[in-house]
Amino acid sequence: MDILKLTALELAHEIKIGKITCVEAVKEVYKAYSEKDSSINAYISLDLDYALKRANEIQKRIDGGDIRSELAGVPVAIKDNICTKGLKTTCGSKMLGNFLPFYNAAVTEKLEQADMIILGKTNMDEFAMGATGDTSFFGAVKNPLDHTRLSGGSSSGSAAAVAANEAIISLGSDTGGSVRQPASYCGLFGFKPTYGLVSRYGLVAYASSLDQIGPIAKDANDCMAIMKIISGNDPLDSTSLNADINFEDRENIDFSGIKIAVPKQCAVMSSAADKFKAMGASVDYIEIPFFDYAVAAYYIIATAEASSNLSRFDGVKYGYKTDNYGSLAEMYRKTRSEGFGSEVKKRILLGTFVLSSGYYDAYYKKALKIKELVKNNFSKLFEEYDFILTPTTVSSAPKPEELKNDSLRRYTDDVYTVPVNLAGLPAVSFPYGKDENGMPLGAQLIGQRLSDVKLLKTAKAFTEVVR
Amino acid sequence: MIISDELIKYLAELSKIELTDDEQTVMKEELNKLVEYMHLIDEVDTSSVDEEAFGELKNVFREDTVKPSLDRSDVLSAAVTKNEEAFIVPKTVE
Repeated sequence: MDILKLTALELAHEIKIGKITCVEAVKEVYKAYSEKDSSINAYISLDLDYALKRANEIQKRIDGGDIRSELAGVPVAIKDNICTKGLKTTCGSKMLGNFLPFYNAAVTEKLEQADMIILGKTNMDEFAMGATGDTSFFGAVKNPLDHTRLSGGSSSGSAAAVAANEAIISLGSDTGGSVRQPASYCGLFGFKPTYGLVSRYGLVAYASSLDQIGPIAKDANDCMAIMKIISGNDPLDSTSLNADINFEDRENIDFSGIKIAVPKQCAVMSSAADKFKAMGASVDYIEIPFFDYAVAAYYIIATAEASSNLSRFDGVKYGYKTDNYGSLAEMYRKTRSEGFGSEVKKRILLGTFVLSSGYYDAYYKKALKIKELVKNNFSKLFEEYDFILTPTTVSSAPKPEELKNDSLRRYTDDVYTVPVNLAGLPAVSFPYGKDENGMPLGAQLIGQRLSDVKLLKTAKAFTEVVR
Repeated sequence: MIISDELIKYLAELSKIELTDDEQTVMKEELNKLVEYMHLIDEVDTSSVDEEAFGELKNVFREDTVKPSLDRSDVLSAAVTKNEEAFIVPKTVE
C-alpha cells in the first residue's frame, strides 16, 4: 500500500485496523521530505525525533484501543506562524528566525490532544504577506507540480508539502486567500472557515479582523475531520464564536433546491456550473459588482491592522535584535529595518499611511464602510442563493517572471478571495480541471456564515461526480 | 503623486523603519502605485452605511478572577538581552 497516496482519513483508518503503524507513516512521509524538500523548500523546520517520539506514544495508545480522534496517528504539517512550544516559529522572517515559543497555539494544542503528529513547520510568505510564496526569508517555495511555477501563498509550504506528499494534511492561515489560493495552485482542497470558528490564539497576527486558520487537504472529508478537531470556542480569542456546527455530518447533499450564483464576469466557470446543474442545482449568472473595489478596501484594512500588529517587534521581548544601537529609538529602528523584509516594510508603511492623520477618513474609514457594504451585499445574495461560485484565482500557478514587471498583479490576483475575508464568510477552493499546461484550476464556493459543513459537502459531491 | 519624499520619511519615522535612499526611491514608487489603485474606493457610494453601527461588534467581558500568570523565566526565554528578572533595554529617562 502506498501510504503517501492515502487521504488523512484513509490513513487513520489503516492505522486503526492495524495495517499501518503511525511510526511507519511518519517515516514514509519523512522519506518523501528528504528526497524532495531540498528542491521544493516546503518546510522551514522539521523535527523527526519529536515526531517519532509522539508516534511511538500514540501507537501504544492505539494498540490499547485508546483512539482519541478520527485522525489519530496522522502526521500533520503546520504553517510557521502558528506557535508550537519548543519548535521554532519564524513566520518566514529573519525577525523571528530563532523564535522558540514557550506556549502552544490553541490549534496546536488541539492537534496534540487529538493525537495527530506534528511533523514540522511550513514555509510561508513573510508574516503571511503575499500570494506568491517567494517573500520568505528562508527562500521561495516551488510548486511541486511544476518547479518553474509559484506555489502560491502565503501558506505556500502548507500547500506544497501536501502536494509533494511531504505531509498528509496541513494547516495554513487565510487573511485574504492565503489558504485557498496556494491550494488551488497545487491542485488541493483549501478551506477558509467562518471567521471565529477556529481560535486565533497563538497565531501570529497579520490582520486580526480577517485572519482565520484553515486546512489544506486532499479532499473535503479530510477538511471536515480536521475542522472537527481544531474548531470550537476559545475564551482566549475574543472574536471566537460559540457555534454549534457538526463536522461529523458527512451525509450526501441533496442538490434539488440548491441555488448557485455565478458572477457574470466569471463565464470561465460555466463548465463547473454545468456540472452542478447536472447534479440538480440551479445556476444563475448575475451581476456582482463589488469584487474589484473590495480588493482595494481589503489592502487598506489589512495593512492598517498589520502596521499596528507588527509594532510588537521591537527587539525587546522576543525575536531579532540589532547589535548596533545607542538609544532606545535607534534600537527599535535598526531592529525593525534589519529584521523585516521589503514586502513587510512596504505594508507597514502603507498601513501607517492610511491610518495617519489627514488620510484616515479618506482611506481607512472609507474602507471600513466598504467592508460593511460588501457584508450587506453578500447577505442580500444569500437571501436568494445558497452559494456563489467563482474561480479561486485569476489564472493557474504563474511563473515568477510573469509577475516581475507587474507589482500590482501580486495584489489584484486576490480579487475573488479577499471579499470573503472582509465579510467573515466560509469558502472552499477545490480542483475542478486543468489548464493547457496541465496545471490545476481551482473553483471557489462561498457560503453564508456558518454554512461550513454544507459548503464542504457540496465541494465533495462535485469532485465525486467529476471523478 | 500622493506619497512625496517628505511624507515617506514621516511614515518611516512613525513606523520606526529606516530606509536607505535607494530603498526610499523604490518604496515611494511602489506605494504610489498602490495608493493610486486604492482610489477605486472613491467611486463607491457608501452613503447607505450607518457608521454608528459597524458590524454587530460587542465587547467581550469576563469575570476578573485570579489565575496563574505566565512563568517569568519562560517569558524572558525568548528575549536577547535580559537578566534573571527583566528585559534589558537602553536607558529611557535621562
